[in-house]
Amino acid sequence: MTNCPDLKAVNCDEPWHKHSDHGSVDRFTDPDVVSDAHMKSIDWSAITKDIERQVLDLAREIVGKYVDEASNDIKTFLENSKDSLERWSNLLAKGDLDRDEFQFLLKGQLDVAELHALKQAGLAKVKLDLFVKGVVKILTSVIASAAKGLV
Amino acid sequence: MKWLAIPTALFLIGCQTISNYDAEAYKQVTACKAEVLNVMSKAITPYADNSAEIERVSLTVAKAYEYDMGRTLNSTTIQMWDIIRDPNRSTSAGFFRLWKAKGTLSPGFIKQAKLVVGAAYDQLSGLESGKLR
Repeated sequence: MTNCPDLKAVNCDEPWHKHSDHGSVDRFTDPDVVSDAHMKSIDWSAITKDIERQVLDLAREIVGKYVDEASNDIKTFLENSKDSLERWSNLLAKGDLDRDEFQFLLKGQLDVAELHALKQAGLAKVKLDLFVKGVVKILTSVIASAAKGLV
Repeated sequence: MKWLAIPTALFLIGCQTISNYDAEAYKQVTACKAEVLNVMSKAITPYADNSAEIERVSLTVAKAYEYDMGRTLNSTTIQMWDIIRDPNRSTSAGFFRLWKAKGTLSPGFIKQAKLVVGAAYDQLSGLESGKLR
């Protein structure tokens, strides 16, 4: 699992900064457009479309990446669990583990599975927080650009 | 703009759903893992001979738990600690309970149990390191 980007840092590669690629913000900052009398009121329809496009891009990036990471993590966990169960069964059969010890290991693996599920739930919350922060940045950026166009 | 309802609502009620990364908490959980695994290796010798060290390590775990208890939006981590610290479960506290009951444990079992207990602590540190910085 990779660490999340520092939200405080200004980084134009971050998904919520990609609005500048669409050109829609330039409509509000272009001096020719700003001087146009028709731009003295906010074009809410354009703003809404711009925000929607950016938020959907952000959701695709954050959620898509998380689903891939979580799926790989779960797959690895299940493969490791299967290997452990096979190993412990062999040790029990050979007499290297007694029943209490075998049971402890089995129950321990279930506890680790529960901990793993809690970790995934926590990481999903982290991604939700990242998404919310990204949406707030998009809203702030697009509306600030639109307001600048009115000055 | 229906798709904005959830993030906007979360923003209005305080933005975050889980605590940010805390370097001290991460340091404490990794230290706990190292200390617990170290004392587990000694389970081939009688529990009574190691009770002082087990108590010291248990105190280290208790301190890490208390530190996490003091952080806001940290309920998931606390739920994880509750499993690890429960002597009726089968992670570190459960291992100490079994050791106490049996007196000594076999090297083969200790080796396998260390993998399980190590994996339990890895889930805790994995969540902490995945949090926003």
